[in-house]
Amino acid sequence: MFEAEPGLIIWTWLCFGVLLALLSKFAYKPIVAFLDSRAASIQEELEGSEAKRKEAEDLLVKYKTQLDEGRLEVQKMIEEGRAVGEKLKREIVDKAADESKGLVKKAQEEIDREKKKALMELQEQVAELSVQVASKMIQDTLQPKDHEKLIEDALAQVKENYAKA
Amino acid sequence: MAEGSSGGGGAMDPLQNFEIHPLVEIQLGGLDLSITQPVLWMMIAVAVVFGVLTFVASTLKRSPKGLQNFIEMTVEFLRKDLVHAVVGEEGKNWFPFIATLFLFIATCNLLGLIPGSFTATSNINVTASLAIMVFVFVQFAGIKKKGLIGYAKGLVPSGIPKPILVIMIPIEIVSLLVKPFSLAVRLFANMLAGHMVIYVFLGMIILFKSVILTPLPFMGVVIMYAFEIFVALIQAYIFAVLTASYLSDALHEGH
Repeated sequence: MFEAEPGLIIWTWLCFGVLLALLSKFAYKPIVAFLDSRAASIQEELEGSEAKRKEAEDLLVKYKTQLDEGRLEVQKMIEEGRAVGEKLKREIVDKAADESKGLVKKAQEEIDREKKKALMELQEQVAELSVQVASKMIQDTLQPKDHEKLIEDALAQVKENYAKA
Repeated sequence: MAEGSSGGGGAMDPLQNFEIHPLVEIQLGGLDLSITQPVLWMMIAVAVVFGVLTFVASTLKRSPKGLQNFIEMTVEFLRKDLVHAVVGEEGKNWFPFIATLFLFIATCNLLGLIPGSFTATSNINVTASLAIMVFVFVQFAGIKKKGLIGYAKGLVPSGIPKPILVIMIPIEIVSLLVKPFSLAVRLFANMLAGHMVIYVFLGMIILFKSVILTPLPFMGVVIMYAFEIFVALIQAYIFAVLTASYLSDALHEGH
């Protein structure tokens, strides 16, 4: 067991040498190259994801700023809208008041005009009735009392007409 | 491992299990190149290591599973935690050599645990030839890096008075030669001793010839077997890590 065996020594070197040559060519090279390339790609992906994370953070900050700005803008728009609304409301109310005043005034004028017209018609009727009365009196002998009565009747007629109008 | 030992005498002489016999006689110019049990099991180890690694190398997937995961882990461990950690950046070119040493020795050691097999590394000729090879390669690497004179100077600590050099030089030479010797003997002795203990326990079963006492040596065999798996791997690692360490000493500034 302890004797030197030159044949065994040569076989050992041969076996080891063959294994070293085979593994170097067919196993280590592809495995090490694969491990290195995978490590490099993982490193690359990590760096890429880091850059993307930074980009996302920047975007988040940007969007937050934009959101805050938007919020302020919306607030401002609401305030402006409210002010415009208030102004419009006041204008509409004022306009409505003016229009109603105009309408009342117009109605008043219409009433006055109708009143005048009615009075004129009344005068015409009175005159006509006076003519009719006069012609009647001419036909009949009229006493002073008759005159008085006729005038009163005529006036009563006018009043009645006026009330109807 | 479980060969021979048919009679009581065989069981009582565990060393006979480590004797080598020619399986195929080959004579070449007076040199006996017969294929013996260690040669056969070294060939099987070469086939196993080569087969497994080339199979994995040809079916590499980005998401490793099972065997690929194990081989990747082993290769990364040898490359980074052993060669790179001990030798440094210069060790890159030496990775195939050191990795093959580890894989070859570990496989020979583990194959030796199969009943009926033979542990090639339990023969001093095998471990010594590996240790001599390491010694030669390490010296070659050192001389290539520093030159013959530079390497020789590096063996002795600098700044030592000349009279002390007379003592130091022989000591350093002995220390240099002891390294391969210790490499060879450590691996051989560990593998031989572990297997011998198993044989002794097995021998006890035959010796006791008692059903009641048999469980005791049987338990011893089971425990030693488990321990031998650990020893098989640790001895391969020690051989590889010491090779890397000697290489590092040869390549870098000594002392």
